[in-house]
Amino acid sequence: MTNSAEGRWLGGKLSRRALVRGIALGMATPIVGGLLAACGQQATPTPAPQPTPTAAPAQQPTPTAAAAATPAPAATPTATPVVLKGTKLNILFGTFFVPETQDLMKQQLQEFGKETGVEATIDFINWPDLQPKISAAVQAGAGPDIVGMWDTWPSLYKEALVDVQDIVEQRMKGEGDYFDWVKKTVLVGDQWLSIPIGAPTSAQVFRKSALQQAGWPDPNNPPDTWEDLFKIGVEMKKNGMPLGQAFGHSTGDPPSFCYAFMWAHGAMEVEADGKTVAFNKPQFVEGMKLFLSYWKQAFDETGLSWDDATNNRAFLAGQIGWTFNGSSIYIAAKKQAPDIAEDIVHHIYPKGPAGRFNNLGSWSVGILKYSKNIAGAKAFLEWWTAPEQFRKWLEIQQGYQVAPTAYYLNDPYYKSDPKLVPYVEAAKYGRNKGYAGLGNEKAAEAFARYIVVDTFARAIQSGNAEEAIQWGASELQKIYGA
Amino acid sequence: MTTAPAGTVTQAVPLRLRERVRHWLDSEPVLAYLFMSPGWLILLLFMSYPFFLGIWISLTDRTVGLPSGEFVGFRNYAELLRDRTFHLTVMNTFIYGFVTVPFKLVLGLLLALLLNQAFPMRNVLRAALLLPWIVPTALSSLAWLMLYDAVLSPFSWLLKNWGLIESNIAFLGTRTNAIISLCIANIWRGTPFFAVAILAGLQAVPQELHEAAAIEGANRVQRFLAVTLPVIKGILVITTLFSIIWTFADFQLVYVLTKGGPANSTHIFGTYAWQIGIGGAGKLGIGAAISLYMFPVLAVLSAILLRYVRSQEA
Repeated sequence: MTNSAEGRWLGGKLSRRALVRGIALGMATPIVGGLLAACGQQATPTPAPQPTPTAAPAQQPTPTAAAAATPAPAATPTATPVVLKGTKLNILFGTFFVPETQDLMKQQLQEFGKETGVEATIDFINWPDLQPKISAAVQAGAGPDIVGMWDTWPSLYKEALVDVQDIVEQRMKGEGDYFDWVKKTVLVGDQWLSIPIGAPTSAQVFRKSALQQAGWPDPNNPPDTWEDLFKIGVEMKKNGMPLGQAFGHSTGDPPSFCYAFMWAHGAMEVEADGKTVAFNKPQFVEGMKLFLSYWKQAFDETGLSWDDATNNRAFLAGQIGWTFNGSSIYIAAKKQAPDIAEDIVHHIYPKGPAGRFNNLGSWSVGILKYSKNIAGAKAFLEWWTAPEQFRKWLEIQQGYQVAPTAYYLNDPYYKSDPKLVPYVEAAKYGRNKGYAGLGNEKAAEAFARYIVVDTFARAIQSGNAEEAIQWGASELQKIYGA
Repeated sequence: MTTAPAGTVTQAVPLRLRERVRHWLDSEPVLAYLFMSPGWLILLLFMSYPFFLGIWISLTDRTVGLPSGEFVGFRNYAELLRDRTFHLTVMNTFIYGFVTVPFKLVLGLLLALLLNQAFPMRNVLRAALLLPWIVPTALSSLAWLMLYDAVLSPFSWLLKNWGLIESNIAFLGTRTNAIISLCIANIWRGTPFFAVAILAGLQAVPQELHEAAAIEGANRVQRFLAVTLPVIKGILVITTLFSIIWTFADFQLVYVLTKGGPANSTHIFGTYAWQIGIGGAGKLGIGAAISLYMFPVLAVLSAILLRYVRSQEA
């Protein structure tokens, strides 16, 4: 170690070597310390302070016109006093096709915040990103307190969700029992781990003028069977207004067509035992052959790459004369292109040899177990799913979301526009994913792997109905037979 | 026997300890490791830990949201060998990796040679060249998504207006079209990396050598082959290897443009692992196994890269 004058500072008290040593220690210590601290925290987590159980806010907001028409019982406050003030709450939802819904939800959160002192925020992300985001949050044990979920997801995240039986019972007491398709997709075994909020339904969306030009006798009563639809599609395509259907990897419109067509032609993913795959049925093979024979003649052939938004754009751009969709095309057209809105006629799903069905499972909202504010989250859901708030949410969507119970279905917003009535009627023909089994984690996996949708896409690409259905059956067997 | 006062003892111990620590810190190797420790720890935390965790998960049947899965050995890997979509995924990844890189290399080289010439606004053009590389991939992928849109694609619109086609082109609607479209977008994004790296190399080529070769009667092509190419050879090898590695590990472009569709025909390792592990099925074990199938290829490429760099250093 040098003792030379140039190697020492601060009157000889600090050597160059000591300085280097200090820097090295200084660099290493915080990181080592931080790591040790982090490991320590992971190993022995500090329990988060839980606010005491909750009561719904005392003051209920003024009911909407719809609410006034069919008054509902107010949410019953729970018995124990609450200390929610100052707690935080984050909610995650997918975006809504009726964008005003998001503004309303933000406003509702503000109201809830004012009444309870809870600092609540909400994020809306694209539909396809919602499940990965929830998966990542569950895996990391951190993220939003409340999540909006699609059907079958409660089964997928059953270990991560808080039991909300108390709130659900309260809802059923006030608003009556849920629809069967709701129970089949939200109940996990006999447990309510999330609160049903209904689902957007789909219907056939036609341009009346295109039907007329194609020679359909009564455009106000569009084709009612799959075969008639395909036949008129040929004439519509000749006039430059083909049928437009998405078959890409997208979670809304492609399954709308594929599941409905499959069921209407006697096939299903699995029998009621939840194990026996019932996909490769002769009637379905024949139906698929029929569909393939019309694909080039009647459909826009770029549909293989379409997602949930493409058919909306194509319809509003006047490039197609028919599609399956929620009411979003009509709602958008009313604002942007009233002439197209006027020209639209909706019709429920077509019938096939085995009947008329549509893919319907309820969305729900759940609380994640890792939340540090479970009491606040429960208080919010209790408040928000009560008719005073929930009705506003349904109303602003103008019938886009079918309610999970019959209680709301006579409300004016479901009836005021006759063009939207088929969307409510669709609730009668709902079947859950995974039918005839439950909409459980296996149905979720089959759906997430796009097996039914890809069966159609493969058939279109290869032109071989048997091979595509065999492929689908073998993929389903891997899931349901496991 | 007199007993030492308690205070003296307690004071003596820390002093001895301090001396020992000081002595320990005086050792060069200890100091060197201390300096390296932040880097090591970051590598351990953010690279090694996820890697080994990934290996462990791939050997279990772990799913999202459930407590850690059970050990299943190599079952996930064996299952994938029987999965037809996985076979297609492997093929797609190789096509995607090995078809795009030569194009990027040649185009990048041509661009670099062009930008190495003296002309007005050269610096502006050089800066603009970097745009595809610096724009976030997710954002540029969205732009490509609009360009390839089945309904509103400007390419289809132009071709229709010129009377060359009658209906829109399904850029992403069939496997062949989709793979070609993905490769074009990837080449567009990756070419600037080659161009900039090669341009830097070109500027290191001594002008005197070119002049000497010209005096000896060498034409442009001969000068390029005999003078320029040997100097930039190292850069070409390194950028090519890097590009193959990045293309193999790509995710964003394919995810945004096709999500692996239609009919799972455009998946590459990253997107298929995502679809199975995170995107819905929640099968983390199989998802991790898919990702790890990529490891041997990347390991070999990385080894070649490192070996080359070391040989150049020597």
